Amino acid sequence: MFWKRNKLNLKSNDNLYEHGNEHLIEIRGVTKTFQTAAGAFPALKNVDLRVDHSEFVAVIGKSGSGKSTLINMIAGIDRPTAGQVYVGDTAVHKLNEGQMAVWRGKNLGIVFQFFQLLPTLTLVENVMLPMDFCNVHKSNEREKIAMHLLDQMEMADHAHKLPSGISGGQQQRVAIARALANDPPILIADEPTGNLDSRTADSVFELFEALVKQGKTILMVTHDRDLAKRVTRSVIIADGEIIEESLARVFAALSSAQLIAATHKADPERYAPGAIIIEQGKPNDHLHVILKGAIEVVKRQADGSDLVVATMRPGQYFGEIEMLSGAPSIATIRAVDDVETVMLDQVAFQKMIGESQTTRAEIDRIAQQRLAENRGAR
Amino acid sequence: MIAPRWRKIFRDLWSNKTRTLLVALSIAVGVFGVGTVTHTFTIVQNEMMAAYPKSNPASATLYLDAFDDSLIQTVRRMPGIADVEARTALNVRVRVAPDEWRPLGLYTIPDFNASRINKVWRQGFYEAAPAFGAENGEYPPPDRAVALERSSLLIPGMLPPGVTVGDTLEIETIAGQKRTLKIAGLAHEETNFPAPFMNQAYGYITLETQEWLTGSRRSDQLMIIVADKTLKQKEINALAEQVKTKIESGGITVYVVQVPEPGKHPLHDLFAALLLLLNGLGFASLLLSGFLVVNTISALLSQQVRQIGIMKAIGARARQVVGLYLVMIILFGVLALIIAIPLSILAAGQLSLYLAGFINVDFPAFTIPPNVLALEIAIGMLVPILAGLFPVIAGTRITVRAALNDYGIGSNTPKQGFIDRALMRVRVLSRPTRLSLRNTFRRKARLALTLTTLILGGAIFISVMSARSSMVQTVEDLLKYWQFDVLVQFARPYRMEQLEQIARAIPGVERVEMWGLMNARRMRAEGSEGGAILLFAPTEATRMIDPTISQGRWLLPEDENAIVVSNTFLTAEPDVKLGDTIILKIQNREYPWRIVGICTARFGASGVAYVNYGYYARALNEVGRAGSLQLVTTQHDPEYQAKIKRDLDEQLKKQGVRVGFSMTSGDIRTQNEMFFNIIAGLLIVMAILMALVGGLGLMGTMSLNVLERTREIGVMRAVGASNGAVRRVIMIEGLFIGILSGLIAIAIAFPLGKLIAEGIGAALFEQSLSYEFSLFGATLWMIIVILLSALASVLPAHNASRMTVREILAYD
Ligand SMILES: Nc1ncnc2c1ncn2[C@@H]1O[C@H](COP(=O)(O)OP(=O)(O)OP(=O)(O)O)[C@@H](O)[C@H]1O
Ligand SMILES: [Mg+2]
Repeated sequence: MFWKRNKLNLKSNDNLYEHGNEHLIEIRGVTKTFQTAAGAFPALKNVDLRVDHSEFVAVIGKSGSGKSTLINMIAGIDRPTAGQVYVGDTAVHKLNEGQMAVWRGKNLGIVFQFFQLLPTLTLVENVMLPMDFCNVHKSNEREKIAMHLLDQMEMADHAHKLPSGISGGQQQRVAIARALANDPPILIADEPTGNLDSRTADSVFELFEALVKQGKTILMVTHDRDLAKRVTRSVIIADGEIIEESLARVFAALSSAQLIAATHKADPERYAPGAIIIEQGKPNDHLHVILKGAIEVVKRQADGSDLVVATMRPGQYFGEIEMLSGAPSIATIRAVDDVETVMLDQVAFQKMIGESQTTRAEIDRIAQQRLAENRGAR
Repeated sequence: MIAPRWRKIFRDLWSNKTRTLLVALSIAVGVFGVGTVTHTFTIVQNEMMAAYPKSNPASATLYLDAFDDSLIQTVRRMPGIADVEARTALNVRVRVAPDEWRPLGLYTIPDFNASRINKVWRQGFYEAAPAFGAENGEYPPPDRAVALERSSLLIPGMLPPGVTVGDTLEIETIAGQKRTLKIAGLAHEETNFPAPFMNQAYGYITLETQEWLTGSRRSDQLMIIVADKTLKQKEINALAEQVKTKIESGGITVYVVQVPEPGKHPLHDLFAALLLLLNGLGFASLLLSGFLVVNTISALLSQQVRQIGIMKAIGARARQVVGLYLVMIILFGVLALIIAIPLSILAAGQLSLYLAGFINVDFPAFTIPPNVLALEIAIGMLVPILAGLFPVIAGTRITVRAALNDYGIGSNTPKQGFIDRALMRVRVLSRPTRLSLRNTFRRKARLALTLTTLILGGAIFISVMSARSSMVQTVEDLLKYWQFDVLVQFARPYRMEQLEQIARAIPGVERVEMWGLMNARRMRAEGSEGGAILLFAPTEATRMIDPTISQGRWLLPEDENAIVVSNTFLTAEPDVKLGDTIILKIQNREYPWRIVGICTARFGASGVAYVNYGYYARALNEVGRAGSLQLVTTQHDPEYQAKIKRDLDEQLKKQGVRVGFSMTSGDIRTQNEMFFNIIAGLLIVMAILMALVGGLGLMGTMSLNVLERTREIGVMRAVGASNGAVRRVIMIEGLFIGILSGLIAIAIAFPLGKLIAEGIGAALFEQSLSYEFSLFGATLWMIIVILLSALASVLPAHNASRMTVREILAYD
């Protein structure tokens, strides 16, 4: 039976998991609607998300934006109203409750913000509990393994205390030890540092970083912007939708509604190394934001030779000058390596700058600056 | 090594001992109730069933004029008769204090060694009276000595205090001779009523002793054993009537023929009623226990919701979680059994001792019947599992998300319902009061469960109290029936003037009434004879009877052949109803009577009927003659009545009048009360148990309610509520629940009490009791409920108000 499969094995040959998903975690078109007294409330709207092996992903967003709802889908704590959730070889949305519990126990470690430990069990017993429920490890080895995990979290000295006898930060460490009890490949944490002071939060975060180095994949909800900067990748959620991170970063002045609108209209595009993205002298009707890879800005010299005037990396955008002026391109843009971008077309672009004066001013400023540089290069 | 999850269960049980004990006690209540009742009855019934037939009880007993041995031979030769034995009953008085005499019954057994019917046994050491020294007694008793029936020692006052084997009793015969009778030892008879029921001591003597006391060797009771053991009561009755006819043809009067239901212990009916009551108690406690268990276990699970969420999040399957809590419940059951089994063994031991004493069966050898034990274990396991299964499955079905959702306090608050809105609008109440009342209604299921438990306990308590006061009331009503102090019924009718003269001559007699009295039988339409009834013909102006009329009316002076029959007559002749004309056969002639009323007879009495004396005397040709005499004395205390009765008996005897039967209204009261007191006592025990159990339930559910709200209390304090305010809010809620449950319980107890009273009446007396709702019981329950609910909510509220906000918010 499929849930007997112990680990999420990466299929080495074609990088494909059993259900055709390419990524370790793949969420496709997930919608979650809660029935409330005030009527149906969509907490997630047609969300897509991909997380690869060994990624450390932060989920950020305002309170009530749907962060917990999103990771609950992955952890199988809640079910999508529509859409699919694949984790490794498992179609999570198809498991029944019993299968879900076993699968979760063996493949996911979960850490919450509050109330983690069973109050009447000692710390080491708390850590042993998942092994007990999922019947992982030989029963006579469990205590040793649990002690080892506690030791890793620097909690071994307290192993035989009750949870009420240690601080909140220490409880969080024990909870992480427990999340690791069955050696799951994925760790899901909902605001694990939410009620810790910044120093303690930092040390918990370091633990996570170490785990990622050991090959774990971690998905963590956090409110802490500083911590979020230190992860591989952030997923931003607003009003139940994932915002294109690059857009959010680049156009920081946009409201979340504007960001969502922009995300909706943004089309992803990929370019092979050396591909021409915009050609000098030709009209350009897209604004590109670089997600991955690097591009060169190449200016055709009077003598016909090409001069690389600038290199741009993820987080930067290009094409705004032509979009603002409507004139043909003043330079060629060429992919240096594998490049991914998202593009906004003319309509979306005009809408965006039309709604946000600050953003327009910022884009104008960049455009002016670049034009000035351009003239200098000539 | 025990797996951590099981350790959690043990630790949970141990770390919250109060709660654990509460749940275990809730279960124990049911086990105890049912266990004790079943245990008691298994013991006593076994003893009664086993012991009674061994005594070879008489198929019929005839009470007749003194006779000698030749009559015994005659009867024994009659067809259908297997065995005959004679006995004599003497009534004497025994001095129990320098100035106090009590009646004493002496039964002559002509040949102790050859006695075969209604066997009397030697009683050795007697647990109920160890100081008596019965083990040193002599049996059969020698001449001029008595072997006392052991039940004579059960209640004090019937014999001189502190008598032991070898002491002498000072007695006085009916003829007034003073004698001393040595106590030879103890005897035991299963076939007679125990002494407490007869309100007099009795014992056994030899024929020589009888002769020494009365000058006669003749007997006056004939005990018969029929040859065919399969005969029914009716057939035995017919046979006994034949014997009676045969005896009377020889010129000897037979006064009473008594045929008990074959194989039925004389106290069987009383016992059956007790069984009914006790079963009711057992059932009630089981029901209450079930509610308590549902309540406590669902409260417990709601406290565990987050832990369930955590366990499921880290990989526990619902099955495993259900398993955990089922084991927890089973542990509760085991704990309950550990508490309940020894207690119920103790209680059953005491109860059966008490009952066995009254029934005068042998004290049961102390056994724990395996079937009782099995029943107790089954209840202790099944009740909590059945009661807990639903809350457990519902509690563990909760999704991880719902369990862990932490949207702060009251996130599960349903939309404001009708009650909430209505409550908030009641401006008379202060804001905190309204707040606590709204809290009360918020967890509707919990509230319903708590209320049901409390209402059940209260309703049963008040109903049982009402049943008791109805019984007391019924006895009072009954005793009002007789407005005389002494009653004498004669063996045959006598001239009125003669009897009146004798009676009026006795000092202390205020008024005398003479009534006609005849034995009659109903002639049924198809020609068969119905049961015997006693036909009284009071004078039209009688002031000595105040009957309770249940249908129709009492006799009017101008009535001719009008008759008022007792409800007991209707029980025997169910086809008869008000307005019918019935044929009564009196002295071999038939007379028609028209039924104008139905009255309530003395409990246990056979059919009785009343007609006007004038018409009766003319119709039966009995003018100027009467068979019954009743008188009112100047003082009405039982001692005075007894003295007048004795004086009258003596005078009548001197004048050669044959008295069939005489008694005082004091005797009637004692007899009835004896009977009642046992039941009433049992009802009180029931009520106390119900109060205890109800109180326990109240304490339990209230404190669980408050415990469950610890977080809420924390939040209230966090937003600045003072300890006093917190306690007030909790207490108002507790009191509200208590008072509400009390009021509903009272409302339910009114009809329920009537139902129970009717049940008791029907089972015991074949008539309903005069229903009296117990205001005392209702008030008492109200007080209990208010006190306990205040206490049960204040204690946990106090504890909660002492916790710091941080502790409370971390509390789970
Ligand atoms: N069980 C539920 N019933 C109704 N609405 C819900 C439920 N759970 C979540 N929601 C709603 O869905 C939205 C997203 O909730 P979610 O818990 O995912 O937010 P979040 O981003 O985790 O917020 P926070 O940072 O406060 O934890 C919220 O508006 C919330 O009110
Ligand atoms: Mg959240």
